[in-house]
Amino acid sequence: MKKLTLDRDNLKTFFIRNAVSMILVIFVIVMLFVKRSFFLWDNIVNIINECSVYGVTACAMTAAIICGEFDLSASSVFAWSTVLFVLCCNTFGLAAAFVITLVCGAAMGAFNGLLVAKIKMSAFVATLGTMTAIKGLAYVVTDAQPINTNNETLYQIGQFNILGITLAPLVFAAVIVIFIWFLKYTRFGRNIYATGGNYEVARLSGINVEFSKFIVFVLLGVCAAISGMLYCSRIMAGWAPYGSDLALYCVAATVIGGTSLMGGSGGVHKTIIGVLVMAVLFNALTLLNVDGSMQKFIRGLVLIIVIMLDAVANMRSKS
Amino acid sequence: MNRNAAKVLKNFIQDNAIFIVVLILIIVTAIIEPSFITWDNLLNILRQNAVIGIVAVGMTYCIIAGLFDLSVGSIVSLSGVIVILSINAGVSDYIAVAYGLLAGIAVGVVNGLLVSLINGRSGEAFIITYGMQVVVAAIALFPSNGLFIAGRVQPGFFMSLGQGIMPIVIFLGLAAILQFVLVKTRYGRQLCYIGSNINAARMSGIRVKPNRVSYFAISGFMSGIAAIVLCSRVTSSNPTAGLGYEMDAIAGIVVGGTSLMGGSGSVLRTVLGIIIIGIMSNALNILGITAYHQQIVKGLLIIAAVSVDIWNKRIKVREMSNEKAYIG
Repeated sequence: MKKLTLDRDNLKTFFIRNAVSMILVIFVIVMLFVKRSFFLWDNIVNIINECSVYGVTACAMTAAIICGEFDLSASSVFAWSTVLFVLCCNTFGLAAAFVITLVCGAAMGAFNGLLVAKIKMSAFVATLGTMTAIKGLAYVVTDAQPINTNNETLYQIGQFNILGITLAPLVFAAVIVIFIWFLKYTRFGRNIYATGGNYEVARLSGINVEFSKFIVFVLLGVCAAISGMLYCSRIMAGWAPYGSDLALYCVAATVIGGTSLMGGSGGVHKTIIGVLVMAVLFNALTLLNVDGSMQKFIRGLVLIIVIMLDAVANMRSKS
Repeated sequence: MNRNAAKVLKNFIQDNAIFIVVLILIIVTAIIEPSFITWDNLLNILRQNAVIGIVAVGMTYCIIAGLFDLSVGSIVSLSGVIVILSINAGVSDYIAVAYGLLAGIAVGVVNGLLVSLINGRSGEAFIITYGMQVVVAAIALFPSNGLFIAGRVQPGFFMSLGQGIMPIVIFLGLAAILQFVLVKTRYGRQLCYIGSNINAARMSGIRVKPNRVSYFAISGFMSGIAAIVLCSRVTSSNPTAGLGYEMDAIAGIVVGGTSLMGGSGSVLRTVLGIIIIGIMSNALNILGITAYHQQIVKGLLIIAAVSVDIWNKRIKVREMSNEKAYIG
């Protein structure tokens, strides 16, 4: 067994490996000196509330990426869910709307899953197609107008909070726990790792690889629908352009967290860091009065740097 | 003999299912609205799709190499802003165009260097060029604070690029050159080899890294040209002009039949894919179907095109193994 020493090389690898957490820590320290209001309870709660809505989908996206797939259509499922949820709230009431939206999200995920797992289409093309089609559907149904709801219960749910923490972070926490349990401690979850790690080997060892691929897309559909409904509960409206950055945000959060795009490794616990880094970064930049396009620039740069560091670390550990 | 003819017909239908669907659409539209098949409308379709076509044709090399370039839309925005700003600053048309192209190539080279530095596959290329898309889109917003810039364009070289038949000539001309390079030169064959098996290509002595950088550079260069044609047509620049071009370009490539797995495909197919999508949306427009309904149709078309492609390949593999069994 190789003995771990604290020489320079190991230290370097350690820093590269934990670059993201370092960035987070450095950022927080800088904020300590520059902007104290960052540490106000209101702001911290704000960050957590903000990132939780997309975080739910990011968990499912992590499972998909571990399985070696990913899903562009999550953003459209999100938008469609806001629309469907609001429409159903207005006609059938809250409980029915919840069930219908969830089932519809699962169905859309299942369709993607069939295309990818059964027909063996590349996930990129399949979900590019469904992304375009579902977005179109949301536009057609609403005639491109935002639609709103006056459902009193939904309003109450949206206003619910404990010390400022709304429903979204609670759901996010539950989803995290479920996913960690699912991926680590169930057969299906471990099969997902095996499928993403080496498809052929997994298939030959008797794992139902097609089902593994199928199930991650269903989970993605369900989580995108949940995210959509959480979003609705805050703003009481549905609109087709909502959440158009969701899919790529989730991929970015997963990768920044440290889950490899090659599949077969990583985990939801890493994605939490990724989601938090992105949220803290946005929040800090906004507090520092950095303008929108500059924020965009920094966001892209951070993404590129993190991926490069991750790849370099992987190459070092191989050689 | 008769059975043989039936088999040939079946194969033909299988291989060209997408064209047959488009042909039916064309015939139906032509019956409902005869003006659809006029020469003017055909030119119109080509002209409308020339810009996105140039982008798609440029990205085809990346896709054949098993890579992605999601930054093309942002390059179109950035190059457009640079060209129009240069012209407004009073430099000559030729130099302004050169600046625009240089910007495109520069972004492409950065993409290529980042991806080949880490020996990235399509996953890394996807996420890195997505990062570049965000960064470059932001850079395009800086000079004008996100505002639309009107160009003080004089009649001349630059203006002529977007007028009349020129966009079509540029589109088809560049596509022909790229197709020739792909099929007839060593560089093109190396591209297919790298796309189908990068390790084998490396071991057989192909210099993989510079080649892969060049594919991104070509993609950036072509996006620069697309930006110039676009800006010349509208004599202004919009810093978000290229938003979503990457998806449209990939849709064209996929509908044409180039596989995203890499290793095969052709520029000609991409041209066909772009024209098919163009004809389709034009026909749907004429039939009075709204843009949003068209989105649904377009999404389903992508799925259908690829499903048919996969289905055909499976049948062929099965037939080949049957024949083998028969001979054996």
